[in-house]
Amino acid sequence: MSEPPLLAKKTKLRRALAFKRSYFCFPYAVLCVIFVVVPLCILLGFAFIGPDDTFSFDNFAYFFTHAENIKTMLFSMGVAALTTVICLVIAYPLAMCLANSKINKSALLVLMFVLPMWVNSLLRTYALQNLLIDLFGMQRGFVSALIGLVYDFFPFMLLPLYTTLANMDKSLIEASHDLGASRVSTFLKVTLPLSVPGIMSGILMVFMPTMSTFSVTEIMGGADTYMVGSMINELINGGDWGGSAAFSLILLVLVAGTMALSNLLSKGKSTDDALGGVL
Amino acid sequence: MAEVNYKKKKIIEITNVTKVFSDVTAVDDVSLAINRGEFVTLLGPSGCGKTTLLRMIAGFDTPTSGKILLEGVDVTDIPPNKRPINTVFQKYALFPHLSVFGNIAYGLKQLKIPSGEKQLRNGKTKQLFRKLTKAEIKVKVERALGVVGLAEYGHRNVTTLSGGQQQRVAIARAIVLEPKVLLLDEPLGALDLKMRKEMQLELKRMHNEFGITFIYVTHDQEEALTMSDTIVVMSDGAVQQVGTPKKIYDEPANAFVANFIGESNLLAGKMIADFKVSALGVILPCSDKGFAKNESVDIVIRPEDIELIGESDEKAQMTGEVISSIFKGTYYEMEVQTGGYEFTVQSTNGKAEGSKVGLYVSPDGIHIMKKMRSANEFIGEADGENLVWMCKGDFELDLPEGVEKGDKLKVIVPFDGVELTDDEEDGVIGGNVTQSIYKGSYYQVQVYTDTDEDFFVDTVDEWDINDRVGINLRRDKVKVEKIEEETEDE
Repeated sequence: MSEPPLLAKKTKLRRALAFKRSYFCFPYAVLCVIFVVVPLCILLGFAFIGPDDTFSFDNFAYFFTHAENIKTMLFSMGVAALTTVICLVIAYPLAMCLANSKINKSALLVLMFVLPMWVNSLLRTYALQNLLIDLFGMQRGFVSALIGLVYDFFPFMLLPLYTTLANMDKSLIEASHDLGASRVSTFLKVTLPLSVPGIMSGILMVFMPTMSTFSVTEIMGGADTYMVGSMINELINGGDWGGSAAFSLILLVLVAGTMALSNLLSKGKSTDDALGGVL
Repeated sequence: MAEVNYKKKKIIEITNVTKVFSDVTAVDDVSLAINRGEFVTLLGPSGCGKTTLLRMIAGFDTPTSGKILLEGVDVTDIPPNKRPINTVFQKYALFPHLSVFGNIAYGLKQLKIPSGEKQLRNGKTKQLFRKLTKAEIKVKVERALGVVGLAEYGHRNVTTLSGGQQQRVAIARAIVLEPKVLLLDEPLGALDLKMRKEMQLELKRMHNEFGITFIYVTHDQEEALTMSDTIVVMSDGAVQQVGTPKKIYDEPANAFVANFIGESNLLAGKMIADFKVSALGVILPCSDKGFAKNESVDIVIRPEDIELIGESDEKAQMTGEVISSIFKGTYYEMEVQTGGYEFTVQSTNGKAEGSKVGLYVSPDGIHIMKKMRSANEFIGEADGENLVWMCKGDFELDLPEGVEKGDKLKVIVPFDGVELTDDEEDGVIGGNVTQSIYKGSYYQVQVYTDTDEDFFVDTVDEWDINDRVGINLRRDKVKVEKIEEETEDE
């Protein structure tokens, strides 16, 4: 008579101890807390601590009242935008060639372009410095920094573009030709609109890290390539934790804003599609 | 004269078209004429080259050799966007980023129509073109939507439509341009059975309504028989037979066509004389003539052409036992085991399982076909004593006298000179079974080797299609001949 309740208790216990698939994400959750959540909290804390160790907006006030800070931030955005555009202009035609199975019979060719991603970016940048500046005698400055940035972030633009174009249904292109469209018009009306998701993710993958980079501009650039990353680096080296935290936070908000905006844009497009968008 | 002729009848002429993809011949020297306004179906198993042929008509692929004429004009090298031909794609290929309206309007927006002439200074006139206006496009798109029964769907996103609706959009998108020829590449393949039947009738109706020439590709013989004016049966990249559905069903040109279209009883036989064929040990009167005496032939008897009568009836040509009998709604399908063959019989007059019956086929029900091939022929090379190197394998065969190593040889292998083995390792070479046709007392099996050759094999065993098998040759059946080369004379 006493057995059934005991059995029930056992199964309850077993069920409670049973391994669930969701447990697999625990290791990552722990890492995430240690390396993302906690540092962010610390960052927030430092950003709002003034010189006299009390809560204040001094750090932010310092940023916004000094024109050179805002100038550096805008300059960084400009450099990031330019890098992104150059990457896009070079990568798109290349991705189209690579996605064409007639030209790129095996995916090996893609590998060649993506291979640099496997080498540490610092190493690559130093190698480029040696090559361009030491060997070819190029002047350190804006142009060399831009070359370094494009070289470093190019694969991040190429890969999403290639994936989108390679997965595109080839019969759509044929359908467009079949309906009387020339090659140019097929590209503008079918290929390009359908590759927008790839372009968007390529832009995000290049624009955001370029904006906060400092190693590439430090190694390849000169005095005229002073970016927000270098600025934060200098503040940290100078012991101004509050200022660097505030600057980082502003950068973070800007980057998050860009991402939200692009998400909104692509979402807006898809709802447009759902509604039909009669011409 | 010729031009008048083209305008009257032939809209597309395909002459000796061959298409080779790297090393596979997809279409092999096909010639075909298609008449204006016809509903033509290219029918065949997958991989027979029908889609490649269609793609060449559309302009997506260029023939390796041969010509394609449209209304008497060579269009072989004209790109698809310059051909008055439109395609309904297998998986519709609708533009996902455009609405239903946008998809159908796509072609119209590319269109340029003549808009008068301009007098040039040198006295010549120049034809002017303009694009369609928005209002004109709207009228045309709405008419096309009405034709396919989607009048209220213009604003919808194509990805939210069902398969059948997407199909209709694809058709509307193609016909709105009023093409001279509409190509349809297995357009109903992705639909369920009921939808497919509906669309078959719908397509037939549209064909009658528009008067456009339809070229339809399918592997579904029933679909082909239902819809077509003309059926082109293809296999191995070649046209096997062209004819009306009735003609193809009643008078298949060869065993492949007979087996592919409809159900049939295929027998091997010998023509004793005109109007007389011997098969399964009896002599059957038939309505065919013109064969050589004792020529080996294939015989096709459709299941509905066999009459089941009393066992002791004088008319009975064969006797047998009904081993299964299934009621199919309007008729019974029965399997009748006679001495050497299991006949499939369809009749409204059902017999019980186990009953003894007599079989009678009227001469009209017996159709005689030429055998496709009577022996396999290969080119090989002497590779030592009693060894022949061919199809990348060393076969042990008797060589004629005076043959030296390296000499070119012709190897003639009769159908019963090949032995198949279950285990590929047991054979000299390996291959895939690509076809197996029951011929009464044996199966005719086709084995495709890795060296792109076909072995036809007569065997009493049943082999599954796509099985890997080993191939051995029977030394006593194979004939080896030396090919005399010109250098020998020196």
